[in-house]
Amino acid sequence: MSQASFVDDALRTTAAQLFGGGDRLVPLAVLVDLGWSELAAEDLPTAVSVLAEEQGRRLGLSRLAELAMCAAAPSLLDPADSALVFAVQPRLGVTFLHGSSVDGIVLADGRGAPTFVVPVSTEGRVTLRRLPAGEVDIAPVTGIDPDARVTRVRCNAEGGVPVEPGAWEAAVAAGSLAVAHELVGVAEAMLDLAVTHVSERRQFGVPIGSFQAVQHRLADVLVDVSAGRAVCRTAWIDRDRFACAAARSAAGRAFETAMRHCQQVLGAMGSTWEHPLHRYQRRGLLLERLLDPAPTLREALSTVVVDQRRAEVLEG
Amino acid sequence: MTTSPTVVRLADLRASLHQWLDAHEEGFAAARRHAEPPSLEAAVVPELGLQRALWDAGFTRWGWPAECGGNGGSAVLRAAVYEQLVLDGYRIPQPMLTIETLGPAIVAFSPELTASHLEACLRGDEVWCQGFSEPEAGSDLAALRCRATSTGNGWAVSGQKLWSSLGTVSQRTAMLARTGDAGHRGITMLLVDLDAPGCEVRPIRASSGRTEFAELFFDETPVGGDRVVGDVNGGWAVAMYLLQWERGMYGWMRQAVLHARLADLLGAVGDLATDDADRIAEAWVRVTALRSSTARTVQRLAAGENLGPEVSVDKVLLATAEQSVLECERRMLPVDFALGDGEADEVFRADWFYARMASIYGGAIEIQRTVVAERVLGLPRSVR
Repeated sequence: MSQASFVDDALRTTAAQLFGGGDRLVPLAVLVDLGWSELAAEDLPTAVSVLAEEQGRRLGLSRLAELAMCAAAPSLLDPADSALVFAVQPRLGVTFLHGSSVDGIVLADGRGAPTFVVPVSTEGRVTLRRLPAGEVDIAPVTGIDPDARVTRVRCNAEGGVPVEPGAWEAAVAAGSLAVAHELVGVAEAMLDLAVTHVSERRQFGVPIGSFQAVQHRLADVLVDVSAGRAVCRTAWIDRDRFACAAARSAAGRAFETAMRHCQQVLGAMGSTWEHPLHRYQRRGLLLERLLDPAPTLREALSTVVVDQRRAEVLEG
Repeated sequence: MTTSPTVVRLADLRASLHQWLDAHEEGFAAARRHAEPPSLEAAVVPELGLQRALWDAGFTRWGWPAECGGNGGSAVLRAAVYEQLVLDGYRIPQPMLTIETLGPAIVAFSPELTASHLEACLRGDEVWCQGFSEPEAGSDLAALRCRATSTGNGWAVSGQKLWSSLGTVSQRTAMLARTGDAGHRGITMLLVDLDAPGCEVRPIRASSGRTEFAELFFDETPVGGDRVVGDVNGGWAVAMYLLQWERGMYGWMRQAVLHARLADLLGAVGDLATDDADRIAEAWVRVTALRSSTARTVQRLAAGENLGPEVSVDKVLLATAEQSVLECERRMLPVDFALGDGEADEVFRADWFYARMASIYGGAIEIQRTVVAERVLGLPRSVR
């Protein structure tokens, strides 16, 4: 076993314990005590991919996406005293428009932060507006995912402090990968539920997983989960923001495919409140609102695709 | 570049190939992507010229063992060369597509044929094709009936093969013949000369308009005993090994081409409506997925790993990537597609028809899904 995979496995075991505990919310302080800073400094791809996938697989909650963003752009914010406000409306992309009303969310235990950081785009530039807790309207919401403990934040989007060039893009790239890995984890957990069910559930005298109509649906889920993970792996190579948006998009597809096919093969049982499937569906549907890759991908067409710029994925 | 060094850095290989292609631009104009003629037979001629020059200059010797004239090194180097060709505006010579499926299998299973025959194929002096499918053995390959009977010091082959890509321009075929009992245990792979007595090649015109493939007929065709690839009755293992490369390296080659096609499309359409941009972006993500996944497959195969059923994932990704790119082109260049009468339009349409076959050739996508379901996910076996 290589050194790298040994570290991966040890971290995965730790992450599984963390997110699989009684309270699935892992507070920032716990991640810090775990040695997040050292892990991130040493090997950010491993730290984010392993933790985020386990978080997704176990319906865990943490501010991992923000931590990944801060690891890529330390000037963004200090997670210990500030929480990032994420945009959730697709047309906005990842920032709020100057002069608009901000309606976003903070993740996990970010609601108690003394300061909220709002990314505002002003004439094509990203600025960060830092608001004390007293100046924003904070409301815990249930929304689609009651387990997620989302806090909705409203305020006015006015220009703030300009971000150093490239920092916001680097942060979004890393954050996109964290969300992407989490979506892959969610999709994989749904696939596991479906595989177990169709292997055990019998109709017409045989397990329903022996019917090709069922098999092919789940094969498609595996293909898209594999593709999502493969694109994530490539995106980490040089953390190009376009490649990271592609990873986020591919992971979104993995989740959508899993959502479509897993519930179908889980049948009526998978459509009950008692069955865990809907909790994964709900988590994925919430995650899908974070760091929407579509605007970045459109931008990628003229720059990356036309220039044929892409990471060297071969080694040897 | 000389043919004797034993190591090369990937980036250096790409850079030196780029320079070399730049310097030889005029000589290979007919092998450029945008100069492809509608006829496959006509397209292959300049491609073989390029293939030969690449071998003589040493670029495509990387990744092949010294026994067949190679420079050694990992198969990953071959992948870099193919991608670089496309990045520089060239077609990957079509015979190299079959080389990437047959070549690794010959190297792994037949040191003798590697030494005696492979270089001619790698250099482009000969073209080889696969002889796998039969009228009664498509998805169910192990049902093949084309028979090789022992003649003491060799074999006599009788039967029919179907859907052999590049069959009309090939001199030899690596074919699967029944030498034993029914099922996958009674199959042997043979390298057969297509000009041997009793052998006839008939072109098949595809819906694309091109003679993409051929059917091969054998009537007591003599084959030397030295032409067995792997063990007698061990052909299934060779075929399964070979298919891993077909999934991985072929998919890798196609991602290079599909990336280039998307760039061309964006150059051709100008301002994009948002929904068109989103559609192209989606296709780009699919091609990126194919690239990421096949890169890993090629690397693992090059490292000697046996990937088995996992590689079916690449085949499904290939089909979806091919079809999403060509669908973008069809939707966004509707007039050229429907009404164009130029050679380029004919090639465009032929490529679109070819993409429709991507979910059929090399193992239908339904078979791949069944493989993934039963052998990767471990679902109960279906009734067949």
